[in-house]
Order: sequence, then C-alpha cells, then structure tokens
Amino acid sequence: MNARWLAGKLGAALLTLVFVLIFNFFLFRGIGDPTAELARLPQSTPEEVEKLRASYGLDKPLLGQFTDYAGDTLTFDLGISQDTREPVWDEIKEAIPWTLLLVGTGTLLATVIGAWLGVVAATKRGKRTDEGLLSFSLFTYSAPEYWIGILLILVFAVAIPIFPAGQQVTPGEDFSTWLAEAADVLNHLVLPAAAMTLMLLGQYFLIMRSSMVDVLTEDFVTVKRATGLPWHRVVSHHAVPNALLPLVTLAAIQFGAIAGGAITIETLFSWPGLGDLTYQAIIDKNFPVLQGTFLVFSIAVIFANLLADCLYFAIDPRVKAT
Amino acid sequence: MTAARAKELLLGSWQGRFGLAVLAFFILMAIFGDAIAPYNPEASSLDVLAPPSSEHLLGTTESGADVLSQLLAGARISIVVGFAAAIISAVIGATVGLLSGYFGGWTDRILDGLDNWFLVIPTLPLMIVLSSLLSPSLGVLILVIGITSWAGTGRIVRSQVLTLRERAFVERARALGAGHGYIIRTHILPNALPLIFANTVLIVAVAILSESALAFLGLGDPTQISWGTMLENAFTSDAPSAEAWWYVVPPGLCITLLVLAVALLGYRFEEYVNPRLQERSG
Amino acid sequence: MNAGSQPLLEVSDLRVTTGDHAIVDGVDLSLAPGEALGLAGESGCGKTTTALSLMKLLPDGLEQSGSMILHPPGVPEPINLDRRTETGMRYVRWRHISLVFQGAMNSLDPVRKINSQFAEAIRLHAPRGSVDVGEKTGELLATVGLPAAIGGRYAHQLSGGQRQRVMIALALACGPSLVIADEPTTALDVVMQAQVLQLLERLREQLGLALILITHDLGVLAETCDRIAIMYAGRIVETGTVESVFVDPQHPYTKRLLATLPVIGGARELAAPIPGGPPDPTAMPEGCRFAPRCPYAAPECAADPALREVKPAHSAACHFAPWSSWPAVADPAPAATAEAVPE
Repeated sequence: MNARWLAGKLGAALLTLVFVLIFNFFLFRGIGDPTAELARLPQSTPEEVEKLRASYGLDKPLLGQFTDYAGDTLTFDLGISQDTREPVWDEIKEAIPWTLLLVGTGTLLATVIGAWLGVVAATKRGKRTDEGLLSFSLFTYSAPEYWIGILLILVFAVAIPIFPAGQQVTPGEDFSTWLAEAADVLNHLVLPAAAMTLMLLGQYFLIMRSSMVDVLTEDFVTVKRATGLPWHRVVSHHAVPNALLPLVTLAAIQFGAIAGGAITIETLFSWPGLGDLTYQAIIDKNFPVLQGTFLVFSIAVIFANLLADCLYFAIDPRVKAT
Repeated sequence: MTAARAKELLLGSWQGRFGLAVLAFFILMAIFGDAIAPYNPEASSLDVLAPPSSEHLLGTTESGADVLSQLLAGARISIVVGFAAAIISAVIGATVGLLSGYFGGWTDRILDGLDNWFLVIPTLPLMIVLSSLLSPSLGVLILVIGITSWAGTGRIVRSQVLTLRERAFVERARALGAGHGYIIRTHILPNALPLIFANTVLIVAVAILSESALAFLGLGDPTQISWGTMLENAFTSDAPSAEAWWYVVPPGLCITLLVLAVALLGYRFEEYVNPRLQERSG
Repeated sequence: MNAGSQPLLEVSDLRVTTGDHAIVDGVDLSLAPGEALGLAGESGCGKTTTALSLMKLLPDGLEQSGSMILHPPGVPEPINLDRRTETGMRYVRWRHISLVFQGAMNSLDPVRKINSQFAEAIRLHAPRGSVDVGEKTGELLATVGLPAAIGGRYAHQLSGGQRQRVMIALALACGPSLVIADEPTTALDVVMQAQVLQLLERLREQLGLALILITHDLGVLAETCDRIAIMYAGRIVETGTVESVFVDPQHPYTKRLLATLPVIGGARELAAPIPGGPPDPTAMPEGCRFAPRCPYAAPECAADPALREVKPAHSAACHFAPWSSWPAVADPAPAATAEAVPE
C-alpha cells in the first residue's frame, strides 16, 4: 500500500511536469515566433531568417517541434541565451547553488524560528506576548518581501554599515583560504537570508500557532499532565511533535511563494541565483533564459511538494496505516 | 446578510474597524489623490533626492519629483489592479469550482486537474513569463494576475458545491425536473456566494502584492505611477545607498497597510462565513 | 483513629468558577479506600469539571477552591491537595490518583508508541533502575488482558476497546489508590462496554482500588458502584448507596432520571426524557435549581434546599424529602413544556 501511495504521488508530479512542458512550449513557440523580431531587422535576408527558423526547428510541424523541445529539455538542452550566447543550462547550472543556499537558509531559519514562536504564542494564548507576535507576523505577512529587504539594507548596510548590501562576495577580493571566502559569502548572505526569513516567518508562525492551539485542547495533553509530567515536557515531547505535522503539509503550499521571493530578493541584493537571472532575462527580453528559469522553478516547486508529501508520510505514523 | 449582521461583522472587532478605516482612506486617496497632490507627480526638478522639507513633505525622487505627490497618485493603481484582478480571479475560480463540483465525472477530473496545476505552479514566475510576453499595460497586469490567482478559490468553491449538491433542497429540485442551469442559479450559487466573496477579499490582498512585485521587477505599466514602480525607481537609482529613506519607506508602508487592511477584512468575512456554512451543511 | 475507617479522599465545599459564575458550586465528597462512587448527571452538570479539579487539571480560566484531603494507604501524613502547588501536584498525579478519560481515542499521544507512553509514566514515578520498564509494561497489559505485542503499536492501530484497556492499564502503571474514570465506556459498543466494566470491577477487587466513575448512564453505575451521587447544575442533589437511591430515590430529578432507564421485564414504554435543559450557569435560578423543570415545584422551592440526610446513609437536597410516595403528574411536566433543548 505504501508503494502504491508513493507511485500515485509520483505519477501526479510527473503529470504536472508534462503539463509544464506543454505549457512552456506553447507559451513561447505557439504565441510568438522567436525569429520574428530578427526578420524585422533591415540587414537580415529571407534566406538567413529561413536558416535561423530551421535552426530553431520552426520549419517542422507543431507536434514535431514539441517532441524536439521535450527531448531537448530532458537532455538539459534549454537553448542558447540571446544575451551571452552561452547555453541556457550552463547559466542556470551556475545559478542553482546560489538560490539553494539563499532559499535553504531562509526556509530553515523561518521554519525553526516560526515554529518556536508559534509554540510560545500558543502556550501564552491571549497574553501580551501572543498578541505582540501576532501583530508582528501580520505585518511581515502583509509587507512586500523586497521592501523588507530594502529596509534591512537601509538599516544594516547604510545607516549602520555592518553587512554588505549586495552580491555574494566582495568584488576583487583575493582570498587566502577557502574558509575566508566562505566567511565572506556568509557575510553577504546575512541580509538576503534575513529578508527571506522574515517573508516566510509570519505564515509559519501562524500555522504553528493554530496547530499548537488545536493540539493543546486534545485529551491526551490533559492525560499527559495527569500522569505528572511537567508542563514543559508535555509541550516539548507530546504537543509539539503532533503540532509539527500540519506545518509540514502547509509549508508545502509556501514553495510557490518561496520561488517568488527568491526572484525579488535576489534581484534586490544582486544575489547571482535563478531569481537574479530571471530579472536579467526580463530586462533583456531574453526569452530562452526566461523559459529555462520558469521551467526550473516549476520543477523545483513540484519536487519540493513531492518531498513534503514523503516527509509527512515518514513522520506521521497514521498515514502509513491508511 | 442583514444590516445588523453586516455592522457586527465590520465594526464588531478592531480588525474590522481598522480594515475598514484604512481601506476607506486608501480608496479616497485613489479617487482624489492626484487632485490634492501638491505637485505634478511626474514633474522632474533639479532638487534631486532631497530630504523632507516644508516644500516637499516627503522629499523628492532621483529625478527631483515630489514623493508625496507620487504616493498620492500611486494609490489608484494598487486599488484598481487589486480589485479588478481579484474579480477576474473570483469569476474564473467560481466557474471552475461550480462546474467541477456540480457535474463531477470527467468535467471534474479535467477542471480539478487544471485547478491543481495552477495551485502547484509557482505564481510569480508564471506571472513574469506571461507579462513579459505581452507588452506591459494596466490591462495586461490585471489580466495576468487574475488568471494566475484563482486556483485557491476554485478548490474551496468545488468542495463547498460538493456538499451542497447532496443537500435535500437540491435533490428535491432535481427530482422535480429542474434544469442544471436553474439549480446552479437558484440553489448552488447563492449558497456558495458568501464563501466566494470572503475568498475574493483575500485575493485582493494577494493581487496588490503581486502588482507591486511585478512593478518592482520592471513589469509594471510604464505609463503610470504605482507604489511598486516607485520602489523600482528607488531601487534602480540606488536610493537606499543614498539613505533616501523618505523615498523607500512610504510606498512600502502604504502597500503593507493596504494589504493588511484587506487581509484583516477578508479574515473577518471568512470567520463569519465558515461556521455558518458548517452549521448549515452539518 | 483506626486507619481502616479513615476515608481515602475527603472533599468539602469544592467550587469551580469562571469569571463570576460557578460551574461546580459547593460539592462535598467522601470516599473510603476501595470504594466505588458513581457520579451521574446530564452533560454540562459539572461532572467532568469536578473530576479534573480533583487532580487540579482545570484548563486556564477556571479557578477552583475548597478543601481536598487525600489519605493514601502507606503514606503517614494526609496530603492537602488544595494547598499543593503545580509542582507538588506532579508527585500526587498518577502515583496516587490516575485518570481514565472518555473516548480513549484521543487519550493517547497519536505519534508515540504505546510502550514509550508507558515507559514515560513508569519512569516518572519510580526510582531510577528500580523497575524493568519493559517487563512492567508487559505485566500491566496482561492485567487488562492484552498481549505485550500491543506495546509496539500506535494508538490508531488499536480498536476502541483495546485503546480503552490500554488506557486502564496505563492508569494502573504507578499503583494508584484512586482511579477516576470519566465516561470510560461511552465510545464503545455494548459488548465492549460490558467487558470494560467487568475489567474495572475485577481490578478494583484485586488491587483494592477506589474508583470514581463518572457517567450520564445510570445503568453503568448500578452494575459497578457502591455509592452514587447525582449532580445537577454544579451541585450534588442526592447521594446514597446504589440500592437505596435506585430503589427509593429522594429527589425528583433522580426519580425522573431513573424513569428514563430501560428495565428488563418492565414497562415497554420509557418515560419521556426530562423536559427542558439544565440551567445556564450564567443565569442560575434562585432557590432550588431544579424547580423550573420539576413537576412537584411548590412555593417552598424559592428557598435553596440543603443536602441533608433523609434516610440512613442517603441524603437529598429537596424540601419535600423524604418522599413517601410520588404523586402522579401530567407528563411532560407543565412547568417546563417550553422547548426541549436539542442534544
């Protein structure tokens, strides 16, 4: 039964992915002929345009074009960047680790801090701590994440210049050891990761808080207290593990928002990840790169959702039984 | 909804009163903003990135324009895009949810699959792709946000319709030979409407944030000033490094307050709608 | 004083309040070692609140007062529960008093195995290394007729009856002298109910446990208890031996409650449930709280009746007790035809 459940999830993810491919294909090739703009240039001859069309495979029928596209994509051939003339995949490949570093740090911090604050607020429900945390999370939830980033720059990079305001390493710096370089990267990571954390914190906090509030009304919490367990142990050993379960599934809903946040925050901090790459592609109307980053973002979110399902499956004993 | 209940809903809590007051403030700003603006919001001057003074209460931009005037003029785009996109999203979401939940079978499988797909696909990247293919304008912005934000509404409406469909009055209508259109119009839609409404209010908040993010990324309407484009201009002209807090703080704060107000109202509606629905369907 | 005649638990004037109204309003209870006391009443009468307050486990917002003295066997000094702090209570809980909750479905932590929940409770009260936790768990499960292998499972993998047995075994983990069981059979089918009740009775005999059994089902009490207390609107309105109360009730409320019980070989038709609902704790009636629903209500009932002994070992809080006969009344009572509160 476990295998069937997993196969079902995997199948659904793959189907979603196929539709992303179809969508991506029609969006860029169906709507606009990428050579149309070139054809409008006065110096291009009809033969040249035809050759270009052939090089894009545009002379074939649509279905043939799609199978070509799907085949290319599956072999990591995402075309050539109009801007740098480099393969799009090479640019994406370089950007992915930076995005993972930023998104991973931000998500991790937001989950840990958000869950912790959620527990604190739920156990102090209705008190001043709770209300303060609720107001703070509502504020960060409502504020655009890039604006929070701008505020962070204003305070911690300009007014009190303790952290760099942009990029991933100090330009022109010659590092003696990899450790010194890592420390420099970490120093550059602080503000963008803080912006990412603040963007996600509110949601995670609210989810954990309401989940905790629900769990604390359950009979087993009273029973555990009745056995003589100290309250802090009832919370940490019984209430929190139960309350964390919804956090995992509901956090999955946030993966799309994380991708969005990566774009604006990386843009703001010139962080050389997929988001910054996307921004450059928007500015330069560099469609092959835009198509590539959209594909990668979609795959990442689909994959992250699948991972959350598996994680939930692994940590909730009740799912296995059904 | 009776008047007394509406009053209790909107004025019975600080969330309702705050939300309503702030929303009313910004709607007034959207209507009269450019009329009361002290300067032409786009007029540049040599007084570049000047801090707040008696002449320019919120200082000036990198081109010497008055920040306060831009702020007043920018309210309109946020409000218009937020509400218009949310309405489009509500129409699509409600239609998909209604048809999917009411007819079931293959209709449901296809529409629910579509809904799930939009639910999974990251929204901002999708909006970016759509709006960079179309040339940026107010209409494109509204359309793009509207057609990418409906999946949540669709899902909620579908599950609500699934329970409504099995209810006695619908069964009765069907037994009496009522047509699908009639049943949907008279029994299903009116009962799902409060939920659709509450959800749409929450979408307004999401749409306002989406507009600001797209504008910040340079995909806003280039001919109009919005709070998002103000932040984009501030960012590209490196205003934060120049410590021009008067330029970057106000537009972001306006977005935050407007989103907060709308979201609080949305939660109030949702709270109000949900227990009643549970009670009636239980 | 002879230790055998000393009560195990003495509760006097127990009150539980929230804001300015009382949910439990001056309850006195006394329980001998090994005795089984049944606490009965409609839902919302304060039964569960009373049970939780005996262990000082009331949720936030509820305040309790009144004296509660426990004399556990083998402990020289009586324990003043009402004076104990939260930390002090932790040593009393489970070691002296344990709890079996209604609907054992949610009484066990769903994400921890049964074994680990037993180990946690056992270790909490036994000196380190004095007990082999695995062995003890096996013994406890065997006591309630379950194989030791059950310990390796999660709560959701057990049937309702198994879960309730596990819960009872867990309640015995630290050798308490008093078990409070709150609706222990409510969520179970009839066969399981009988089995769980038999189990409780057997354990009580074997281990000399005192039991406070809380239920709305008087039939359950008749089978299991020595003594019975009927609660209405936060107060005990009648208490006595099971036999005395069942055969010769002395409060109109008890009389009506008993009339709703099916009797084998008795009349086919059951009496209608008592019309009206329990009073709203924020707006308690003046005088006798049952008067608005009472078919025998009279002008005297405007004064608050005290709980007094009306027969040997049998008390009731009714101005007209002892009742020698029950005059016939129109059914349902005209005083309370208003509207039956839906369950």
